[in-house]
Amino acid sequence: MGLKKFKAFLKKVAPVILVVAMIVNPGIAMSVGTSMGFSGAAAAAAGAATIQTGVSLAMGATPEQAIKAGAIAGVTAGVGSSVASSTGSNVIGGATGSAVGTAAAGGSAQDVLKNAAAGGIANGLADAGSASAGKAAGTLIATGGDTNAAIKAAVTTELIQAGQQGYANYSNTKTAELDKMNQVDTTTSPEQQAAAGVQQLIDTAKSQPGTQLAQAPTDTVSDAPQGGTLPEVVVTATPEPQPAFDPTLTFTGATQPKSPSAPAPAQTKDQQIVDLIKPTQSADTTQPAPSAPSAPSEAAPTEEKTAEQPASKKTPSPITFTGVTPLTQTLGTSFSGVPTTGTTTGLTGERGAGEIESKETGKTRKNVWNEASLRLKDALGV
Amino acid sequence: MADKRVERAKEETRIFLAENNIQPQAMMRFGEMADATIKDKALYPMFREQFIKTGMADETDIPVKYNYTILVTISTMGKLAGQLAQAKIGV
Repeated sequence: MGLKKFKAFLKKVAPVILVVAMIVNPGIAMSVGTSMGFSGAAAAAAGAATIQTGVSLAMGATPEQAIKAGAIAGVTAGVGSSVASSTGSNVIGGATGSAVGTAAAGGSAQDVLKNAAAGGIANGLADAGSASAGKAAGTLIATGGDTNAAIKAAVTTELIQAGQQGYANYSNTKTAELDKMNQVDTTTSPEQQAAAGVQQLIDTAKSQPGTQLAQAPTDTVSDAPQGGTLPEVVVTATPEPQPAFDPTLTFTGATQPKSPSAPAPAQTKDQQIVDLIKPTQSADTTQPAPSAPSAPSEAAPTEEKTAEQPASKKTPSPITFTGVTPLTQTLGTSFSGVPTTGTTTGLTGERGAGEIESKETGKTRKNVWNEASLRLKDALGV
Repeated sequence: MADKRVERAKEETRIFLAENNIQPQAMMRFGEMADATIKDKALYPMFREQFIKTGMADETDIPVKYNYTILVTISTMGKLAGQLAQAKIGV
């Protein structure tokens, strides 16, 4: 039989065979227990626990499950053996046996056995675990439920060595896993990734001719200027004068003296026209000029009104809201009654068309037709 | 329930003997040897050597260290082989 065949056979058949081991061979448990150093009911319990643990492990049970099954089988076998036996030094009383059986069913004895043999079983030493379980079960039965003695009996030198080896293997495995995790964390840290990326860019740039790398300043950047002084700021634009508020201005119609700091208001276009057409006159504008023709009778009052307001003409102010418009007054005075031809007015003064002074009297000539008047009209082209 | 398990165990043992051309009497002897080894651990090396010499297993099949599981299994198979032999003979 080859290696694989025998192992496959054991793996396949052992569970089936071991289950019936104590049925087909009733003395096998006692034999196993006796070989483990027990006698009587303890031997039966130890043997049963050992076999049952082996069966459970062969069937693929976990170590905890195998130990539990072995402990129950062992304690049950030990109790049954003690009850069946009524004589002998290894006889365990029924009450004690029941207590042990109850403890095993309740879990305390199972925990004892599990803790005693788990190390060996967990490390693949099924036989060591089974033996430990058997020893623990046998000791538990023999001592009437002394768990400390059971543990002491179960923790054999082999089990300790197996546990130590198992712990060493476990420690090595976990250490390797931690090292691997740390290595992964180190290689994937953002800082190192950034540094690697920058270095790669630098290397790439260096490998390409004509590429200049901008060297960033590595010193500390601060807001303070170099030298400790800031350059002076020169403003070249002329500031726009802000109009000063004159608190003395009133809106009662009277013109108040202006503040000396206030600039002179620019003349309006109407005012300029008035100044141009206005002849130079004295303060007394009521006296007509000697050369001025006699104004129509309806123009006199207007002229008088104009003369009554010399101050307003000399010092025009846009802030005069008296309801009287100076320009209208002036225009009405100057142009009322003036013929629209304008040509006659420009040559002979202000008179009517065809009107001419008499040479002799200086008075207005009469509307007569004679040679002189015709000659003048011919000359004028009228 | 127990009978069914025993019958299944017998069937598995029969198949194993037939596939490996092992006589039931030979299996019974190995069972007796296993029982003796269980009672006396000192016999374990001798049992292992004989088991390998007869072609039942290779050196790596049976651990050098004393193993309760293998010994109990072979011992039980010897008992089952005896029952198979008795059944075959019709005793």
